[in-house]
Amino acid sequence: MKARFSTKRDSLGSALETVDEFCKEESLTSEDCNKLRLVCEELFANIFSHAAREGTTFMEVELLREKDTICVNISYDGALFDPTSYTDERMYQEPTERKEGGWGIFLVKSFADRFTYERTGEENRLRLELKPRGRHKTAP
Amino acid sequence: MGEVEVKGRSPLIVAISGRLDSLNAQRVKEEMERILSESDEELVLDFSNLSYISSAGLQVVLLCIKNRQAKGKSVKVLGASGIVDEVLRVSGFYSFLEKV
Repeated sequence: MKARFSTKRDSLGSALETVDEFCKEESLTSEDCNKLRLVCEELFANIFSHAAREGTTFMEVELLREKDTICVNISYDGALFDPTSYTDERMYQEPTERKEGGWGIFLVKSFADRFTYERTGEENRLRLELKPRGRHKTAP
Repeated sequence: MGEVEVKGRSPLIVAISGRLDSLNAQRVKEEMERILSESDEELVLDFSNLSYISSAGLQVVLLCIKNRQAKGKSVKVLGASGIVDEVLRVSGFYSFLEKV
């Protein structure tokens, strides 16, 4: 399943509907679907808010199942940003000392079994892999 | 989705059901601000029927914790399960929330 979205404000809902549709088509359990939706929502929200402010105009998403792995390929234009090597300093603060979150990328790294990034031309390319019922890491 | 319902006044019990995500967190946050402004009681967040939470939802929980801390009161979480429980755990929220 492949879809392309502009980074307009109301695109996030449409992008998440695509994930829900994929879950239905693949008959994923609610547990696996929630994990997939979580990692996608965090990245989509990042792209539609932060990246869009830096000039990103579109996001393309491909969802597929490869044997026992659910794969998500995301590409978008705009400034170079590698979330796989990004550590939000707020993760080392007590939650109650934070003005706002900083959990988005952390949750992606915690729930995805594999998370990779590459810059190709003018595009950022992310790939997520989830093993149904995969394990995740815990907070620092 | 993200329905908010006051189920008790002392302690203040608020049930949030459905999904709490980027699409509705702002509305839920505003509802919680209104509800919290009308009470100085300890808060119990009833997540028995909450099926999903993302980082946007964590912001709402954080708002609740900060609000009650300012009044010297605690926040408890009731009925969190599945991914809601996992997200609260991995993000370290159970350091501040008592799970009941």
